[in-house]
Amino acid sequence: MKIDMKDVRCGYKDKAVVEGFSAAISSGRILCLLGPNGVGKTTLFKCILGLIPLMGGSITVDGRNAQEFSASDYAKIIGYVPQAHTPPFSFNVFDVVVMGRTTHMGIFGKPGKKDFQIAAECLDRLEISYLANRVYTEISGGEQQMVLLARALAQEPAFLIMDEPTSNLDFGNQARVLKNICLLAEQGLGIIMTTHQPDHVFQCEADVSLIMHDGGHLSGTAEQVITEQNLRKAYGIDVAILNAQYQEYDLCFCRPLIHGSQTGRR
Amino acid sequence: MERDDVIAENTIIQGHENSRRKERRILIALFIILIATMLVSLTIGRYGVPLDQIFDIFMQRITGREISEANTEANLVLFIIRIPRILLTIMVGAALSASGAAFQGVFKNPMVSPDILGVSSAAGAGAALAILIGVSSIGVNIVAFVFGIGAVLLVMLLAKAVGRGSNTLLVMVLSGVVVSSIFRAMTSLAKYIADADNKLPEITFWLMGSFAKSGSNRNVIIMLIALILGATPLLALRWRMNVLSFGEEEAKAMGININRMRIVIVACSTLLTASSVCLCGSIEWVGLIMPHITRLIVGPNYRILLPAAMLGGGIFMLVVDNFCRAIIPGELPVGIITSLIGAPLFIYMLFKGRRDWA
Repeated sequence: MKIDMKDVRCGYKDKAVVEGFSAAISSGRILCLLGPNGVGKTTLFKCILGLIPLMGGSITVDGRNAQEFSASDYAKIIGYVPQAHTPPFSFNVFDVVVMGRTTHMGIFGKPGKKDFQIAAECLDRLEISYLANRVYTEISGGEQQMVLLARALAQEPAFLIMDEPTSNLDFGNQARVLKNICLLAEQGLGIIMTTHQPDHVFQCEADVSLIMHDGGHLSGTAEQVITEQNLRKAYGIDVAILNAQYQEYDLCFCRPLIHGSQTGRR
Repeated sequence: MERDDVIAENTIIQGHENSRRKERRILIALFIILIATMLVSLTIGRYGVPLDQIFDIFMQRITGREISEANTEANLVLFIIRIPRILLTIMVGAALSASGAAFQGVFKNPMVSPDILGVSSAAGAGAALAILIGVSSIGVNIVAFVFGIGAVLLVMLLAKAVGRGSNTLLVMVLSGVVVSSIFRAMTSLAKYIADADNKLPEITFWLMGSFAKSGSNRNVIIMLIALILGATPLLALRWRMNVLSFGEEEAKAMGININRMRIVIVACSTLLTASSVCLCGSIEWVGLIMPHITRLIVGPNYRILLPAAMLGGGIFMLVVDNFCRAIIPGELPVGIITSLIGAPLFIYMLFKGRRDWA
């Protein structure tokens, strides 16, 4: 499957935040939305999810306009993994994951055997079966993020949209979540995620859209877009992009040059 | 490795089935308690009717035999006064409790209830005005419902305008306070202009919340219709209420038509509250504390929470009403007792549940 975004214009009320955005994503690929705070990354993915209206341009799923889908049908195509937050009620983790099945039930439907089976499989797929009987509000932020991912998987969508999946996570959990994202893409899901780390683009071998303050954007592969000049233009800081060999790995990463420490290290 | 996975999945599903079995047992237990409370309630009152006599009368009725002379009076007390009142009490308790639970889910806010959102006072004001003008009792119902819906809309609008999407938990409660106070003023106005000899006592006593005058067969039927109309959609949508409590965006991304769902839930909950208020005045706190107590026992999943809260609400209301009937000869308005029980209980739950609400 393929989602095509052409000349997308979106925002709140009458004010467009994002203008002329174009990108595409196919099954099995990862697209990172990168850019400084306030350029409209969140606005953009909310528009892709259909949470705010499209003001201009087009978003199509395999050639069909996204707006033509009902909420329920669209949920079978795109799943949403929000940032972990605390819901008002202390639901059981397994119940939270089963909620992902809602779109496959009738309006008055309740989850059945098949839904429980799939939810259990999703927990297992992310290796968090041990959380099943815990209370969602009492587990750690990293665990909550994984549970929300499991919930979106239970929805069985072709694409996932993830809002800064690694924010608020410790070093280890960031790596774990990222690894799972890459695995899911290998298994055929298309993933759109917003991130603040250019390194994520290298790590996931993802496509990237770098959005600038002036509203412009650059789309392409990591090598094409994540360059020292582009990052300086987007974030207004000096960045070094480094290549290294480590054991059998070819590593590519970027490192902001912080004045002071830079001279000290020379 | 693969075998381990299957074992892990089976363990999860097994554990889940066990907890569902437990849920079913809780519902059955609540139902038995409700029946037992009903039987006890039949014996309570100024005219004492012991259980064996009640049984006797029921047998005579069921078998179609003539009611024996010794039982005539008791028969009248039971079927004209006590049974309608008990049925009405249970239905009002269930309705208020269901309404509170549904409002809490749809506004993803455990601190709201029909009273806090202003629905009760608005329905009360509407009904008071309708009584003042002198419309039919169906008309009183309709006016109360319209006022109730108006109050919810007003609170939603205020909360949205003031809160701008953030910290709506408190803003919504405060908006409710404001809206309630507007409608209470309207009620006071209605009382002020009301004829002090006949209409004023009628309005005042009814506003205190009491089943004393409302237990008639006709009212039982009105409440039954309202309960069926209001609670059936809520029960049918109860799984989706879980999803709704995660917030608008997530619920929509999980495939729920938010607007349609909200309209149905708010309308049904308001109908339940408004009809209760019309029949027996505003009985406060039940809609707030019963869902909470139930949540402490069965957890927040609406699949079990909603039916359990309805049964629990019925039991609670009936017990309180019995107490009011038994405590003093003239009988106490039930609203006074629910407030006396509800307020401290709520403070206790504020402490106990603080972690869940943070």
